[in-house]
Order: sequence, then C-alpha cells, then structure tokens
Amino acid sequence: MKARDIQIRRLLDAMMYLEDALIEEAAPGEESALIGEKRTRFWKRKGNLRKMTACAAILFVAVVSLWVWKSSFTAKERSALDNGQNAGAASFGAPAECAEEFVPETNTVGVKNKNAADLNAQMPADSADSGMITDKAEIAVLEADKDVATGDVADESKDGTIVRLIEEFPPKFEQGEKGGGSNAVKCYKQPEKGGCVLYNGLQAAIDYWDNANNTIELAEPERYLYHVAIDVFGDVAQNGRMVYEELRLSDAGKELLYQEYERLLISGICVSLSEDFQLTGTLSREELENFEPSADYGYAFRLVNE
Amino acid sequence: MEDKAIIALFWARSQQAIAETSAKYGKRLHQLSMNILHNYEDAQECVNDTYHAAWNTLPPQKPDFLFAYLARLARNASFDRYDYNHAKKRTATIVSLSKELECCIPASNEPERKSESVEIGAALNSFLQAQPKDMRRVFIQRYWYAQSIRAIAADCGISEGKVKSMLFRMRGKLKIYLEQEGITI
Repeated sequence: MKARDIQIRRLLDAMMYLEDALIEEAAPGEESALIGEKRTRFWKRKGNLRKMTACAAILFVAVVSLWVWKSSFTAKERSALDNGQNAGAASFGAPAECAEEFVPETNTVGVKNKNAADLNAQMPADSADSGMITDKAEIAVLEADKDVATGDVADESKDGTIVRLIEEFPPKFEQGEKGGGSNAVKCYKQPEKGGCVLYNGLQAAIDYWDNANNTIELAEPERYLYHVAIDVFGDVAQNGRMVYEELRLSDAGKELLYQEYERLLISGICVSLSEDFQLTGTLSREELENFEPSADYGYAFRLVNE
Repeated sequence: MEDKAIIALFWARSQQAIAETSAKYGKRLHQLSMNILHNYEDAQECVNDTYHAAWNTLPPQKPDFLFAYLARLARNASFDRYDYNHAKKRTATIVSLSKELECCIPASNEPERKSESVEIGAALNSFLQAQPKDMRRVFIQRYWYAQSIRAIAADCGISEGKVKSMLFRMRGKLKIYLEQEGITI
C-alpha cells in the first residue's frame, strides 16, 4: 500500500475510537437504511445480465411458438372456408337477412358460359367449393350470348346491377302466401327420368324473390341467383340388376354423375361437383325453369341449406 | 424492547436476546455492513458475526449505548471482511471515503513520529464534540457509518448539495485541528 493509503486507512481506523455517545447520536434512522447508495443498474449487477438473456431467449421462443400455432390455426380455418363448409350459412330470420347479398368487385356480374365451363371443369376432388359465388369464384364478363338468361344478366351487369345470391329460405313464412307451401314436408318423391323436382324451400324462395311475393321493400338487387344442390337420380347397376337411385350413392353412379356434371357445364349451367359428389349450382329462375334434363336422369333441385 | 432489557437478556444467556437485537437493529446493522462491502451475502454474514460477537462479549460488557456497541462490532467485522476479500482492490465507497479524507491528513515536519490510532481517535472526539450537532451527525454518518450522500440527505432532511458542503467544511476544519494538535498520521 502506498504511504498515503496507509495514512488514510489509519484515519479511518481511528474513527473506530469515537465515543459511543457520538455514534449513537449520529445513528441513521431505519428509513435511511433502505436508501443505500445509488443503486447499480439492474443489468450491471452480477449475474443479472445472464438471467436477463435467459429470460429474453425463453420469451422469444414462446412468441415464435405462439405465432406458428396461430398461423397453422388460421390456415386450417381458411381451408375449411375454401371447402365451402361455411358457405352460405345464414341465420333464419327475415328473408332479407337470410339471403347472402353478393356485390361484385367489378361492375359486371354474370355467369360465364364458356369460361365457367372451363373454370369449373375440374376433377371432382378439386371442386370443393360447391360452386358458390365467392370472391375466389372466377366470374368474368360475358360476351353477348344468345342464351336469354346469360344475355340478360350480362346486359344488366354492365349497368352495375347487384345480384343477390339466395342460399336458403326461412322455414317460417306467412301462411297463405301463393306458392308458399308448408315446409314441414321432408319426404319428397324421387324425380322421374327426364323430369325435375323443385323442393318447397326453393320454390318458395323463387316465389318470394322473383315472383314479386316479397313483402319487404325492394332494395337495389334486381337479379336473384339461387344456390342449389342438385340431386341426380338414375339407373345404377347393383348386384346384376339396375336400381334407380341417387347417383352419388354408389361408385358406378358417381361416374355417371361426373359425366352429367360435364354435360351441364358444357351446356352453360354454372355447376360444381364437390369432393363428396354433391352437385351444386348457381342458377337463376329462368335457368331453373328452362332446365333441360337428360332423358336418363331425374333431377331434384333444392337450396343448399334446405 | 428497550436496550437495557436486551442487554439483560444477553446477560441471562437467553437466545431471545439475539432475536430482539435482530428485530430492533438488524436492518441498520445490515445497511452499515452493506455500505462497506456492497455484497448482500457478505453483509449478512458480518451481521451474524456481530450477533455472535455480542453474544460472546455480553457479558462482561454492559454498554451504555447498545446500538453504538453493535455498530462498532459490525463495522470491524465488515472492514475485516473487506480486507479479506479485496486485498488489493477497493470498493467504490472506500475509494471515495479515502479520497475525501485524504485532505484531512495534516502536513507534518516530523514524518518519523506517527500518532497512534487511539490518540487520533481522541482528537477526533474532541474535534467533533466542538462541532454543531447537525454537522457532527453528517460527518459521522459519512465517515463512520459509510452512508451515501443521498442517504445522509434523506436522513437529515437536507439537500445533497448541503451535505457535500458541510462535509467539505468539516474536512477542512479537521485538518486544521489535527495540525494544531500536532497529530501526525
């Protein structure tokens, strides 16, 4: 130690010989005992930097894990939506609330014949969207077509018409309305070959929207498209005999159904075939009324949520 | 519990004496040790050594001021620990105290004669008793209790600037006093 340091230390040591009375008198209060020197910064204290680093690493891993989990969860939700599982879910309420209002991003809306056929001409496994018109649906402006429905839609679409997509009709509707039959009947007769059957809900929706039975004030929509499920019935070979049943219930029937699906596409009907071979389509009233069935099959049309 | 009662417990060799001492003075003793060592574990150890020393020395000792007695024990233990831990290095407190007291060392034309610590201590007692109470309190808190400027200011209810100025004046006075007394360190 330097001489100076020794001197200083001697002075400090000499302080030990101060009288007890002076020491007692100058004793700091208990409150000041809690106030030490200026506290060293937390991260400068021994070992704390290491602890902070460890905590930061754990926090980072937790955040990344949470982000990955949320991303996968969101992807699953989107996948479910793409499969049309949530498509068209509307609550049973006033008719205006039931119907999905479809507002195209462009000013033109319509069902494209050829393009729709091209776009919808997919393998069944790919057609998971059941043909509902969504933002992802490829709808384009039609060229002038000789088909009345298509041409009418195209013409009107050019004017920026809003098309309302009807997917369900409320189970409760006023008694006595024309065309408004009871919806309590759940059993329907199989459609005959070459014939079509419209379920009560669909018929009621058509009557309500298109046939001016709407009791609520009409808003902007002027065109209505009905999102329908089409059950196709035909002869299917089973155990050496032909059975007339819904085509999608058997493998042989599914092959026939796929052929019928392609035929309808070529004919200009906007249809789609889902993974479980449920044929769906988006048709206007005119298309439903003018539907040309195949002589070999019977068709039952119903709203997708019916 | 009063100091006399605690001393009586020590004399009666009752373990309760330690508990009562810890309850009454534990925090202050710990703070005193922390001011010197700046290490919680070492300070706690020194406080425990203090209790142990008090147990061993009471009896026969019967101090008039129990806290001063305990604080002296704690201070000794802390400085011993400090010397043990930092043979060459010094804590910031000791460095700052040393620097401040450096100016108190009187100049002497007789370097060979060195006063004993007892003699110096006696001189310090005389010097401090002649000083105003508040200045004396600040001086002892700083150089005996090794309190920080901030803690002294909080305890005395004055600003830190005033504490510093009081210490500065006290150091100057001490140096003059020691020179006048012929004390050589």
